[in-house]
Amino acid sequence: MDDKSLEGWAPEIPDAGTLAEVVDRAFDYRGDVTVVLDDGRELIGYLFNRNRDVAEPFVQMFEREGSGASRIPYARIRAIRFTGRDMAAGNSYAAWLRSREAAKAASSSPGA
Amino acid sequence: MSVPLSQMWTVATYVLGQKLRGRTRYPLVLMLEPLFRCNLACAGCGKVQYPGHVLRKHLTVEQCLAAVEECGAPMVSIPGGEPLMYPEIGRLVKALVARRKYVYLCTNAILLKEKLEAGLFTPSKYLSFSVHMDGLREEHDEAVCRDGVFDQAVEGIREALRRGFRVTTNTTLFDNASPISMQMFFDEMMDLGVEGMMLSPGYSYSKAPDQEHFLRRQKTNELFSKMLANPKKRWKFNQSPLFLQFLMGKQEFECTPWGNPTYNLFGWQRPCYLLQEGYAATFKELMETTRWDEYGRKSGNDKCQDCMVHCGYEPTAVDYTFSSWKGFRQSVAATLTGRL
Repeated sequence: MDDKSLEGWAPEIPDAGTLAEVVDRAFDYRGDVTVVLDDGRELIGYLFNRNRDVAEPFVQMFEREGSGASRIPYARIRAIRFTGRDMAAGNSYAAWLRSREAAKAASSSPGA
Repeated sequence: MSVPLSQMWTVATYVLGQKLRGRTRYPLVLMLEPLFRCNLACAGCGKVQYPGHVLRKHLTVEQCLAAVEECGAPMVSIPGGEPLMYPEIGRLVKALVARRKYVYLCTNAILLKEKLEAGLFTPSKYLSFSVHMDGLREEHDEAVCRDGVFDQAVEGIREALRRGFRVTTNTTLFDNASPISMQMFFDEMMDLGVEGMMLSPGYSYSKAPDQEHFLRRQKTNELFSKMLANPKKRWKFNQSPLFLQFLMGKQEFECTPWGNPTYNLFGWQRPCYLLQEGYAATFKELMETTRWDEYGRKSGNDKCQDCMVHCGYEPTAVDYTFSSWKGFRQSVAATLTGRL
């Protein structure tokens, strides 16, 4: 069973409510995202945390080319694009069973 | 049951100490994940699906030890990822043993023989290799999505036992588990000479590829009741007998999500080992700011309704043992008689 992947998604973010929703989706996404900041800078990496229960809500990400974690206030985020490969997509158990059966059939065929 | 007396004593005095101090929420086992990288990609596991640059990262030994000190739990379980792929695993384990923490190194054992031959570890009552074994050869290789892994694990277990290490097994059961096959598996593990076995039903990770084969509550009760109705005396389980009774439907427990707190690259995971709803920077923040009443079966949270996994319910079983004479009596009776 594969959920539809968000890979390639580039949502419009017209208001804070939408931003919160998109951040939640990015937090659940198992791939890199591109976060566009208010100064036009783009950060590419894995968004691993978000917290809205504090005075200044923030997200945290490991940048692809960086070493440590970055902390970015929600207020500075203008856009989030789901640019990296979704590592959770396309790995279904059913697909694995199919490939296993195919491998078995190939190895037991007369020419194998 | 097969938990050594010294370990039982440590846990008992720790839990009673927490109760005397009036702490209602305390950690029992720290789940320390130094890395997410693994040499397997099992269909039931949602732990390893990250971009490459995240998988290449790992905690430092100093970060791990700081988390251990901060948490204070008497037992440390090192899952992952595959901890034998952690470049500092020897140093980490040595430091934990020096701190007299009971360490369960949870491994698929593919690299176990190689690491033992390299002299990375020294036998100790504080160190147990907890080898992932999801059943007999065919079931296990199917669960880990690779043929030959069962045999590699058995080879690793034999080598560890030969060298005098404590070895336990940990088994996750899915809805395709057969009680008879599992009983044969218990016999085989005991024949191998492992100290004890740990069992748990699987949890449906939202990101795990195999969503169709996780056990629902009633099915869990039926499976465990059939499997453990007449347990052989020689079967040893390295876990609370009351937790096994809970899996059989003989105990009614509520989840203790803070019982096995998880620390990894991202911080302290909220609320538990299985759900990833955010991260706290410190253990104190985790304990004080997580809305614990939103988790567990009573909360009505959909994600918790079918969960019966060890990391939430074994701490409940242990707490129950030391909270009432009834719990203590039931636990002692099951331990002494082997009856569940």
